[in-house]
Amino acid sequence: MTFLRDLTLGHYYPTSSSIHSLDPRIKLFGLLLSAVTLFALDRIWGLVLFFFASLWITYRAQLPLVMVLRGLRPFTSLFLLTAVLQLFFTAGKPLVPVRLGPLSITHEGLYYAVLIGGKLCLVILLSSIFTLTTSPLELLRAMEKLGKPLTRIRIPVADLCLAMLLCIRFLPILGHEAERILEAQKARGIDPYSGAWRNRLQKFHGIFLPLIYNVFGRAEELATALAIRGYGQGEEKRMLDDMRLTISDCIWLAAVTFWCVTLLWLFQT
Amino acid sequence: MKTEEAKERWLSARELSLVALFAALTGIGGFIRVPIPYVPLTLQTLMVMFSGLILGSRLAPFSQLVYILVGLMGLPIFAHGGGPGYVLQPTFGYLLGFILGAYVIGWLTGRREPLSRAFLFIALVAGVLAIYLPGVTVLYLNLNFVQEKAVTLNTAIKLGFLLPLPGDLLKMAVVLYFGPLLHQRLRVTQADLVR
Repeated sequence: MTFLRDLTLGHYYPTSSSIHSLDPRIKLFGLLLSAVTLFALDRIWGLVLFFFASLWITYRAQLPLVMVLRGLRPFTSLFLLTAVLQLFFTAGKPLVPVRLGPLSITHEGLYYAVLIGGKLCLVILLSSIFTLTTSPLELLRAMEKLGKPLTRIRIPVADLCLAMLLCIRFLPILGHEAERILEAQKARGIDPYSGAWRNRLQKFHGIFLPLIYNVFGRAEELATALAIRGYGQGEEKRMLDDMRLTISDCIWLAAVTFWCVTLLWLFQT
Repeated sequence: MKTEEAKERWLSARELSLVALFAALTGIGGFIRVPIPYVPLTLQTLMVMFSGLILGSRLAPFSQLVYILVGLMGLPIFAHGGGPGYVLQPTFGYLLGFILGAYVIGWLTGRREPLSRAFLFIALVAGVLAIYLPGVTVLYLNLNFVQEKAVTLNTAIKLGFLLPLPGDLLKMAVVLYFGPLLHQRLRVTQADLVR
């Protein structure tokens, strides 16, 4: 279970750069605006400019380039799907004279594969930079702040954020628990990954039933801990320091907006 | 003198911790493979079904929402990692379906006491269909508007419904086997929460 390593902080990569210390609300807004802009662009030059911009941000944030690019790996299947869909299923002038049955690679197909693949690639790169520079806890605070208006229509934003916080905290703990149960069953000679598969399924309940029962024990402890600390009592709880926009936040906000609007103006027909 | 009434929270401390823990459990479930050859099955959908069965229609969808949001925040708990870029995956709709599926299963099983296997079967079928509904819809929208390929709804249904169905039927068998017992012993009732 190598995933446990990544479960505590997600992708967060702490450095002391100015990008890291930006207000998470600004970063979130920038990401959304860039994604919308990218999808509206329909010329490859716009994407190239966006690519250089994200390289520059990576440099400013002092992130290793390899780490940012690694964010693309989980999406391999998505890129493959895009390539196959665009290359083989776009009508137009054939690029090579060879035909594979009804399928052929066309000029248009190649163009759209690069365009749409590039858009997806860039949005994922930018979101990878976003998660590398923003810690989940900071993001949660931003969410709670941004979600304030939703409490008016009785959406329990504060409860939602607290539940997310607890979930993040409990992911590695439950992960270890699952690992421990698996080991314990192995020590008793029960290995669900060997033997006839009909039996395997039977052996398997020895893993997930303890896991579910376990959750209830944990929930009980957690509820007591919350009650002791006065959850649900008295006035609404607030954060120790309030989030405020600084001058550099405002400059970034203006810069991102200007960049996106300019690109849209230049590269959108 | 002004008396400060305790502000009524939407969730009690116990409910809140159950929601958070089941969200974490769904996340962990994605990493545990069910030992069946040739089919890559994880415990994830299973956990969705169990959360509906155990938490009921009010808490279960909330726990799935927490799971999705935590994944979107960048913790690698989805089938292929996590992070905000995940909304571009054609399969993102199935995650949204978890919310609806957990609600449907919770709502249906909450109406029968004691729960019979036959009724549980109906509830699970309805729940799985509820997972597929947003799943196929998002798949269709994604192919048409992100990939910009005109794909008919028929093809989307074939790709997104008939293909993954057998695996989910297997998981339903597992829930059918343990469900009534767990439902009876663990169902979070109102009486529990007041305690």
